[in-house]
Amino acid sequence: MPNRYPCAALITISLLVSGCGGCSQTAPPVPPPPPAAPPPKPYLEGWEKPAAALFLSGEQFGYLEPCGCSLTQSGGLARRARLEAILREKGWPVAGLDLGGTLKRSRRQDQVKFDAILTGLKEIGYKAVGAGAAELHLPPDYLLGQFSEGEGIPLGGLLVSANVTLFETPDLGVPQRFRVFELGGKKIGVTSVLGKKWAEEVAPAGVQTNITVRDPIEALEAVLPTLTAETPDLMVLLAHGSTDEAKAWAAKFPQFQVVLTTGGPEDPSEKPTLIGDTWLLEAGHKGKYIGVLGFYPEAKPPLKWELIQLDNVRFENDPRMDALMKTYQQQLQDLDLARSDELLVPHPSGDKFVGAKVCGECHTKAFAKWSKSKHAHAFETLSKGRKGQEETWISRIYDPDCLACHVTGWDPQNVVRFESGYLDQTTTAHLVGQQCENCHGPGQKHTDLERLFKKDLKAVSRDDLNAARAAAKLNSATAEKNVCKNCHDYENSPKFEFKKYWEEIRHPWKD
Amino acid sequence: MKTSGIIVTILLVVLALGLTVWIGRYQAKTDVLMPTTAPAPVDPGPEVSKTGPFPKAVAEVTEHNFGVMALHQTGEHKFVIKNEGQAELQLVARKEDATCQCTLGKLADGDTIPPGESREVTLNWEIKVMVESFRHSAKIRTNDPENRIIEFVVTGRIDQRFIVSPGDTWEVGELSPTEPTKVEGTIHSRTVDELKIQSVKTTNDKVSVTYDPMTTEELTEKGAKCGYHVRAVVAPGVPIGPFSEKVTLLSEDDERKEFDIQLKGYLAGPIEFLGPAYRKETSVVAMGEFPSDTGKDVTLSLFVRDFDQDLELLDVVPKSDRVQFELKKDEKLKGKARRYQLKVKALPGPHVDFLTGPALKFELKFNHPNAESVVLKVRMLAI
Repeated sequence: MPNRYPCAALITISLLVSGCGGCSQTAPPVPPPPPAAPPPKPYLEGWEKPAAALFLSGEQFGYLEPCGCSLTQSGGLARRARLEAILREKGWPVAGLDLGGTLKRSRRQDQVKFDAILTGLKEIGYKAVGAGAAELHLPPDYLLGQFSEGEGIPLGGLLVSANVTLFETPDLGVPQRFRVFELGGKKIGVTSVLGKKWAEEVAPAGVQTNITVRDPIEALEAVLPTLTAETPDLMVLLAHGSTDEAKAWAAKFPQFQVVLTTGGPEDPSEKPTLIGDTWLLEAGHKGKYIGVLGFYPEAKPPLKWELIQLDNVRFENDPRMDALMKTYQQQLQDLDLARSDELLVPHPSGDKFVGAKVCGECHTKAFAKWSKSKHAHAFETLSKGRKGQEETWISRIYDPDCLACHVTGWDPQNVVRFESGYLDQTTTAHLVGQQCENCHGPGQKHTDLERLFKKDLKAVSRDDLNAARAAAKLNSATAEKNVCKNCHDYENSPKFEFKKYWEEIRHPWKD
Repeated sequence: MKTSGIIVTILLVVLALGLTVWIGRYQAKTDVLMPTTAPAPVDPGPEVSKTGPFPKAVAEVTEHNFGVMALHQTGEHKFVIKNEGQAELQLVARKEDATCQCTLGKLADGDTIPPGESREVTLNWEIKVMVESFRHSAKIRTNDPENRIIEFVVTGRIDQRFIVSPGDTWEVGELSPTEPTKVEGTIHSRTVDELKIQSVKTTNDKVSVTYDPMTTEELTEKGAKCGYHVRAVVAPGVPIGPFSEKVTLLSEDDERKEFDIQLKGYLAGPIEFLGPAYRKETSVVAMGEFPSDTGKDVTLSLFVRDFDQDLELLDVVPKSDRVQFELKKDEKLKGKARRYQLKVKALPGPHVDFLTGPALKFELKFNHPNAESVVLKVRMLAI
């Protein structure tokens, strides 16, 4: 009998312990979260497996990641790659075509970014990128080095244009006049043309740019016989011009079943425009969307089109692009681009930055309030990521695009560094974070005058003293109109409301 | 306690613990009453009556072309929704249902329209970036079972008050080392009657800028009301490499005091190395990580200017049994510049690490009088 007791006791304990697995039954009630907006509709709903599926995109404008640093923004190569992986795992034959317009600027960082974006596109299965204005603002030598076909040149052959020629050598092979590739047993033919406005910009008359642009219609007439001789099942024209030009080309060359055009809005219509039997499509800007074109040769119509918004609800990041982002950030660090002279501009005031601690010597209350604000910790967001991102975060502390709003002494909208602005954590540790002088202007003159004045009341002119004080003042009307929006713009701070945010940082005290 | 009793007790302990873990496992997987992890309820919009009567939402016009707008201009357009049904029509507008830069105004959540009445729905938007066209939309959710979502769209074209042509960046192209290089363009307006340029600012003494009012013919050609013809000249003597200089023209216009033009060009050196694996700033060929038993090749492009002979790679110092260089001319390129392909071959061999430690350094000797010796560093990890 006695040896039963341990058994009974243990069973009782086990039931109590096992009950702990569901101990939430005794948890205090938590108020329910507010109703959420309905999730985005399922993508490609009702689509059968197509004979071929094409990712169509363009006008990425340098957005390797979602359009802006807010987590709620759409886009990013990592989400696009995730969609490609999902479709590929379903057995769909997927490839991509891009209109060009990859970059916003043509600085050294943009070349590095260009490499990263193109490498990403290649990884996702892109077969052609149109030679657009952004691409042709890069040096022709560089383009030739990057896109020549050959061993050890991973992007070889990717750049396509029917009417752009480099170094006056039409058969150079960069860009390719057209490409024909096989996808799911079907042949896809693609070429690209550059429109008039962009031609004038990249190859202005009388300037030796080593770029010549032929009339698009003449160029297409020249290319089509060779292209059609390869009997593609589907022909796509990448039209890098205005939508009016694209319509004219679509009408003139009905051989193309699909014309993808630039020049449309950021958030385009989801429906194709019919020009005769040709589908005129737009894919939007900044990589926010990816257009998926399904090819069903036996169906009527033989095409399906859906513009999929790459939101953070339906799409996770593809780990393949993490490696890409790491390499990109590492290159920015290696090249030390944040310190480069290319980004250096004088401040319009001619004044220099001194750092928040110096401001705080007199403006103690304002400094105390700032120290507790998110502005003071803006740099940490770059190095560690936001809450919840810490484990997987790839540091952006060498990325000029990001630094511009997270340090002091840069012009955020133009991503340039003012003289005496932040350089790096060692040389300019006093300018880390979003500090006083980004809003009030550089404070060297003001602080020098005040220090002199403190020592000797007659050492400085009252007019100079007052002028420097006045220059540093910032009222809410000016802040709202000219200052805050430089960083809190609609992309990087879509929830920004001036009145609400102003209360978090306002400091009406003089000391 | 007997030995058998002890054994039975131990077995029961093990059994009980196993049971604990096993039962606990299932309990932990259950989502029941886990308020902290429960997702927020989804609100699909106003609730639809199960039995009727029903409202009927009718919007005869859902898309409007606003025409031409300017950068930073705000727009507003009113659409009308009519309730032609038998019950109150409820409307919900959410920020999440509108495109960026667009908001729905004057419509509160839960707003209702009685049967037979109509309501104006105002769409507001701002042109925040300079692109050719805009399209903004916002969706309204209703309790009409046949029309749960109505999307309103405004479209239009964006025109600048002043147009800098051929763009904000002017390609100066390949700069001449001996002659001035010129580029020209215009600043004009199709909407403003008068423009007066006062002066020009530049910080580079090699750059000079002149400007004259456009002739009548030039204005007609551009469809402009006013404008200036601007000419920039870059004198010889800028450093080899990329050239970039901002010039600023100051105007008397109330809304546009400054016009920034970025001049962009390039002065080539005698031999230019290019390619995805080449790091220009450090003269490094980045071959990356690869299996040591297969080796790896990368190809660089070499551009040679103002040299009539064929470029020859005369020697490489030091000699290496692990890295070799091969130079081949690209016969296709016929212009002023000649192109060569330099294949850098990492040969198969034992494991080596020139990635984390010092790079391999080579001196390439050419027959070019202005580039007889060029240093290349190779970084690689063969594993």
